[in-house]
Amino acid sequence: MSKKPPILIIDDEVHIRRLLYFILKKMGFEEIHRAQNGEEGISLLREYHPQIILLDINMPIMNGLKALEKIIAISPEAKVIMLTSLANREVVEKCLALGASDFIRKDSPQEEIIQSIEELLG
Amino acid sequence: MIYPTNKKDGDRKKKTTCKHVSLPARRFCSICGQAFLTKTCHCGHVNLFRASYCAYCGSSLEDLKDSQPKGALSSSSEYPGKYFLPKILDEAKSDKLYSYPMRKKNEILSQDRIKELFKKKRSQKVENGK
Repeated sequence: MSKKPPILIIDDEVHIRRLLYFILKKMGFEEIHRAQNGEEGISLLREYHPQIILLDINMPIMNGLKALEKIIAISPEAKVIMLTSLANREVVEKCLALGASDFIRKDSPQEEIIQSIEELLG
Repeated sequence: MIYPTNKKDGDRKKKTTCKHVSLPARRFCSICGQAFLTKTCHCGHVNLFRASYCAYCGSSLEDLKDSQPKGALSSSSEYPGKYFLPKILDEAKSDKLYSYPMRKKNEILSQDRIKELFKKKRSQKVENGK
């Protein structure tokens, strides 16, 4: 089995970060970084250069949409999966335009996240 | 509510066979439900009974017969007015109206619909790359 690339979770909710961490560990990821908001996420992106980023939208300090814009500007090759409970058309279309690779509703089953990450890894 | 029929209010009364008084711009008597006399021009604009010319298109109303609406809830084709319902419905049937899909900004999208949108974008990217 090939070594999995570094991955970054950006979410302000502890339980979501923890749940995602366990899912990713189960998938075989070893280098998992976690951030509480967009600003922290960007500093971790500069430091560790993760290939895949799981990004929430509703966050304090810097929200997911602003963070997505900056992430794509800093690291255009990074694959960003938006992970949010806010799935209205306006937000989805904005994420698409900004360059998100996927968009998963938080009420979707775990398998959806796993499948999306595997697809992005190729 | 019955309005007093004194001289001051006399000009507010509309011509009808009932003796009740109604406010202007009303089409039916609010007391007995009888329709007021109006004149409808060839284009379908409704005018006052006394009018000689249409207030909307300027056509002559002199040679027209009095058109009295037969009731608001009767056949809509007999209800002349600015928004002629059967005409609009006919246009809708012929795809003239509402042919553009209504997109609501706050419409909540299902996961399947989101997937579809992202798949479409990915395939567009691939095509552009070629």
